[in-house]
Amino acid sequence: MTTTGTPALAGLEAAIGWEGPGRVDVIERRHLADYRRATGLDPEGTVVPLTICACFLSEPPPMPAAEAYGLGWINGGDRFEYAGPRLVLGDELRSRLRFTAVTEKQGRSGSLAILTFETEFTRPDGSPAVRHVGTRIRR
Amino acid sequence: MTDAPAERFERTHTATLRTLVQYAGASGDFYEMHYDVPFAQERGHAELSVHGLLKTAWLGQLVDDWFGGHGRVVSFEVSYRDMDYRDRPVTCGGEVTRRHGTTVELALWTEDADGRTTTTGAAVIELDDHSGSDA
Repeated sequence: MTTTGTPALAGLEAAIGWEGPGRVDVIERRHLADYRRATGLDPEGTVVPLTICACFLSEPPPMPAAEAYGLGWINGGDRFEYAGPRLVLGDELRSRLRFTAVTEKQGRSGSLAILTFETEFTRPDGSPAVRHVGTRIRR
Repeated sequence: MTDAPAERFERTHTATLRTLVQYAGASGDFYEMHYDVPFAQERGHAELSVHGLLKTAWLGQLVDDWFGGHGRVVSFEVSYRDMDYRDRPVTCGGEVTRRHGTTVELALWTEDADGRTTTTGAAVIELDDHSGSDA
């Protein structure tokens, strides 16, 4: 059974700081072609789209505490911040999803929880490549 | 004559079921709301919704095409205001809102076929020093 309201919110608040498993992803040719095709680009192209890190986010977030609130996920927003040279084919990225904040609001159809997840994508030498902030909603 | 990028730009996409499945496979986002009609309906949606991050990918292409690689994107963000659904056109748009030095700010949005704004966003681009120059 899923619920909304204070008890379920308390579970989410207690989960702040939760981290997903560490990931290592490589921008591989076939994966790039699949992503480019799916987003309407020529799959033979080699430019890495700005949003490629969306593939390395683990969506929806696999955080157990979230399942106890509401019935499902809605994506509220995404922010990408870029550092260093643009990602290219063959780049390796290390990342770990972190749950950093939650607020509850009353929507038209009842309570909803607004969750913030942050992911720092770094290169093998530790230098930052992309920072992602995702707003995900449970209702 | 200048080859400076347009100040306002738009492009329309329509996601079919095939598109949504391709995107799920490529991105790894297999949330059922994007390909399982009964699952979506149980959660109050009449149809399969387009992945928010697919719309963001479309907007990212607009940004990329706008500056043509003559610089770098500093940040890019979107806020999803409403759902878009399969087989319905989504118009993705962008507009220059501010220029200061080599930095350009863009406003971004998506609209559905009824003209409702379903996504808002912004991007900050740092152009190469020679970009936009008539020299």
